[in-house]
Amino acid sequence: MSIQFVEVRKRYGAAEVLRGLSFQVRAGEVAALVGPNGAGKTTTLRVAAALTHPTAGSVRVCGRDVAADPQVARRCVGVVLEQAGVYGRLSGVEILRYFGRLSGLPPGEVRRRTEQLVQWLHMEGFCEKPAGTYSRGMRQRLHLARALLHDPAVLLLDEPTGGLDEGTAAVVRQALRSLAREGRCVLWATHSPAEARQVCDRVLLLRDGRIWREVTAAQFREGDLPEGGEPG
Amino acid sequence: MRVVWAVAGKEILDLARDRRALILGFLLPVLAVPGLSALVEVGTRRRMESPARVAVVSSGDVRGLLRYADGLLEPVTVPDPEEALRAGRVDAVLSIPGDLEAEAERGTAELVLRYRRGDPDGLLAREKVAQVVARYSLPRVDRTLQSRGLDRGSLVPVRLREEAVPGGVGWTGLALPLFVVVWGFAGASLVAADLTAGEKERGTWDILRSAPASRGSLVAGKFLTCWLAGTVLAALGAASQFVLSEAGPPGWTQVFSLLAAAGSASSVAAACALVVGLLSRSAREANQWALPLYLGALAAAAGAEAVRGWPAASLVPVLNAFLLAQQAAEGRPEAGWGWVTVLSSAVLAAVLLWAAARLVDRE
Repeated sequence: MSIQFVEVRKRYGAAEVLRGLSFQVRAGEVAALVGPNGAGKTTTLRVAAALTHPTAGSVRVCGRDVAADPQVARRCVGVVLEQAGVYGRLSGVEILRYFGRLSGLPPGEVRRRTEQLVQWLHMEGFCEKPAGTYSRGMRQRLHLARALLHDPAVLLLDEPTGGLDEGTAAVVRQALRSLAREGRCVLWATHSPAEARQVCDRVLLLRDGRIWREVTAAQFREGDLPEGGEPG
Repeated sequence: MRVVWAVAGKEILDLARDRRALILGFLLPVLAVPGLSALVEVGTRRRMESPARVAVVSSGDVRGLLRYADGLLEPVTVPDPEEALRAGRVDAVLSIPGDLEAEAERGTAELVLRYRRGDPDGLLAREKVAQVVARYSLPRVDRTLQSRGLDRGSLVPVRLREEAVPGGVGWTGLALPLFVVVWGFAGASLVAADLTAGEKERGTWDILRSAPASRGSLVAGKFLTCWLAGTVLAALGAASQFVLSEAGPPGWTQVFSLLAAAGSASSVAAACALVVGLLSRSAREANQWALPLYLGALAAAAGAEAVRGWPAASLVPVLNAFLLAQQAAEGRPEAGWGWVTVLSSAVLAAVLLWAAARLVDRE
């Protein structure tokens, strides 16, 4: 299993956000995490990315225990966070090269991967400009390229198409499908049932910090959304 | 080490493209502060050279005395001299006996000068009135001496001839150690706040933390940037102070000692400020927490004179950097003191960086 959550709990002060969350996502699979606001989608992704420590339970990514060996777990994970910023005075290419070096890639490999991703995500027109001037769509493509730079086996995406125009969203969706075909595991937090049906193989419906239901994308209907607020 | 250089390189590039930071951070110590010092000096000189405003109170003719007051005193007439003195409209009030000439001939003349003791203009007025009284008295002293077959020289059996030679740090040079510590602290802590709490605010902190790099390397890269900013700022401040001072160009040992002092103060400041930045949620909060750090540095500088010469002071970070800069400014840096300063600062910085690396994943 690429991602394995077993009875994971996460508490922020008095509030328990994850309450015994258990699920698995296989390599080559795109799984959607869908649930109302506050259901625990973002916390789930942050725990898997070793950005937040679980209060209890076990999280394994690519067979590694995230709590025991977070740095090794991070090597096989690429993350796109919903409200991530950019280094506004650096160009997209400079940001990608920076993260390539942080990932420990040799300089030649950083250059090759950067060129490849810039081409693949259609960033040629803006990648040399300062990232502070980018639109939301450009930033999302930059974040996706950054997450893919070290060729991770697992992708964790928090609303990666949120606020994008349909054309850019289609580019991102298409990119994610082809990544899954290459054998990567994708966990996608989304508020859009249509998008979940279109891109994902499986939908994990999250409510009150637990998996409420699990359905295939083909079976997933609007009526399946858990109660407790707007999906998000 | 590759990750450390990658982080430091990126942060330095980012900083170099921040025009506001460059203008504030580098032009301020090089131009603004020395410029302010020069303005203060011009103002002080003008004040010393302009005549003191003195209310003269006398029932008699005082023209004989005031003949000697040209360029030193500006006698003014006010209805209520005491009230004018309290209100600061005059620098001093000089009461002169009505029959000054006769009393002076008898040798019993007494003038009363009233001035505000906390007022620099009052103190200057005192000096200037004393000069006028001396000038007025001198012809009478000469006449008296002549009548007894003496001259002024016979009253002073030992004479002092003064010859000023170039050298010394001047009054401006005295401020140099303070500038080294203050600029080192300011540069390092402002950059540290931006590179930690500032990243949290801008939403880049989590993506940086998601990178598969060791926490120690991330902190070390950021530390290098902050340390460099503080050291460069302190060195620029010290260089501009040297240019303003009368000391002439510093020797190599002075330069190395000043750089060691700047680097030592900056290393402690950078490591402290990184810890503070990692504990803060915004750059503003980090800068608020950094205020006690500045005050601590200033307190060390203020207390330095009291512990000057104590060997144990070389082990106290910041204080030892201040004293090393002072030794360098005075042209007599001690190599042993310099090494102990650098090593003790490095040990404290290393301990703080160890703590900082553990704070990177703090929620």
